[in-house]
This record gives sequence, structure tokens and C-alpha cells, in this order.
Amino acid sequence: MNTSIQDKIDATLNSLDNMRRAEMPPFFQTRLMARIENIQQNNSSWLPVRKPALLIALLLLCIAMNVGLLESTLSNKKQSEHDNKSSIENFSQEYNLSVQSPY
Amino acid sequence: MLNDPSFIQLLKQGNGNAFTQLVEAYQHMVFNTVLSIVQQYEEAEDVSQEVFVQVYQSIKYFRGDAKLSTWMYRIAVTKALDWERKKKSKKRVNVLKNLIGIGTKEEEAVTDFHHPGIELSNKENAAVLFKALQQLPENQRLAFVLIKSEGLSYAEVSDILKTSVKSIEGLMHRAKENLRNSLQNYYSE
Repeated sequence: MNTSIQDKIDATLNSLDNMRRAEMPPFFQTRLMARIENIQQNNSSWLPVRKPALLIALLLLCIAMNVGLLESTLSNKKQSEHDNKSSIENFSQEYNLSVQSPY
Repeated sequence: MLNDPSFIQLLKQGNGNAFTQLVEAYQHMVFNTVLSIVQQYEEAEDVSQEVFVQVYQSIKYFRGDAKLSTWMYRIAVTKALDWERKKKSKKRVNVLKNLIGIGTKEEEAVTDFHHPGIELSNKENAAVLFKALQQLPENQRLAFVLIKSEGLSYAEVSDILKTSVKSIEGLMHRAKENLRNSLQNYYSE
């Protein structure tokens, strides 16, 4: 029994002896050259970033920056309007000015 | 001729005819090496394409310290191992997805690998050996595959794996020992 197992093991270990090299499937060269051409075309594309995840992240960042800029501009505008109004009021109070309508 | 500095210079200049000659000369070597590691026929062709694309893109960095074939064996082995790692990590992600219930139940059919260069009488035994090879540590498996499948000498394998002939001898000894143990378990079941 043991000898038979040992024989099987030896036969299995030697089963790759005298094996032939596997041959590449036909027309490999054609498929390879098409792949290389494809890579070259992609490399010369105008877009510097090709990973979709990275593109989406960049787009979101751009939108976030624009929203932030818009918000800060709007709040600055409100603040300056408010400041402007209160400074006129202060000025008129300080000099006891009141505009009275002639009518 | 393929190791001629003038031929390598042509390759570095991007000469199409030289690259065609290189593919013609080394395609079977690359395919057989990759196939013996990845053990899947269609995938082996795809990985072989990656090998030649890498060669095309990196030939300008080839310094000529080693033979062109040694350099190509290194690329082939690296690409085949990369493919294996990607496959394993994809498998782990799928297991995790299935655990949390968002995975698609992709069941991989476990089939025996039959190398086309094996004699018919050895086919069954070779399929068992290829399965056992998958259990070996990476460097032992590489040494075994390059010596048995590509018929390389210990010295050539030591050049490819950038190690000494002594350590290749050690790797082969341990590979055979581990395979023997694994086959012992397989046949005793």
C-alpha cells in the first residue's frame, strides 16, 4: 500500500519531465500590436487624467470651491451693505441731521 | 543576434521590425512561463500581452547587465505574480462583499489545469502536481516551474531570480520536499 503511494508520488513528481513548451495562440502578434497602438492613442489624448474616480473627485472639488467662493462673495456683499447703512445712520445721528421733506 | 548591441539599440529607438522579431523569438517562452504560473490558458495570453507591452515601454531602461532573455523572464515572472495577487485580492473582496450581503455570487469553477505540453500518459499526474504547486511558497514555486517547465539550468534560474545557485538548490530541495508531503496527503485520502 505504502509502496504504491510512494510510486504514485514519484510518478507525479516526475510528470513534468520531457514536457514541451506551450505555444502561444495564433495571431498573438496582431492582438499585441493593436493593444500597443491603443495604449499609444490613449497616451496622446488631451485629457491628463484618465482614471474616472480621480476625474469625479476633481470635478467635485471644483464645484465645492465654486460654491464656497460664491457664498463668501454673497456674505461679504451683505456685510458691506449693512456696514454702509449703519455708517450713514451713525453719521446722521452724530451731526443731528434729519432730512425733512419740504412737502 | 537578439543579444547584439545593435539589435538592442534598434529596439531602444522604437524600431517596429526589431520589436516584431523580438516578439517572434520570445512569445512561446513568455507564454509557457506565464501559463505555468497562472495555470489558465486565456489569462496567460492576456498576461503575456502585458509582458510585451512592458518590454516595449521599458526597453529604453535595459542596461544590458543580463541577457535579454533573462530580463524578459524577470518581467514575465513579475507580471504573472502580479496577476495572481490581483486575483487573490479580488477573491478576498468578493468574500467580504458576500459576508455583508452586497456581493454577487460569482462562483469560480475549480477545474484541473492541463498543460498542453504534457504527454498524454502524464496528463492526470501533471494536473495533480500543478494543483500541489499552488500551495508552495512563491520562490520555491518559481524555481520549480522555471527548471521543470522551461528546462532552465540552476545557474540560469539564479540569474533570473537574482540569487545564488546554492539558494536555488535549496529552494528546489524544499520545493520537492513540500510537494512530496502535499502529495502524500492527497494520495492517502
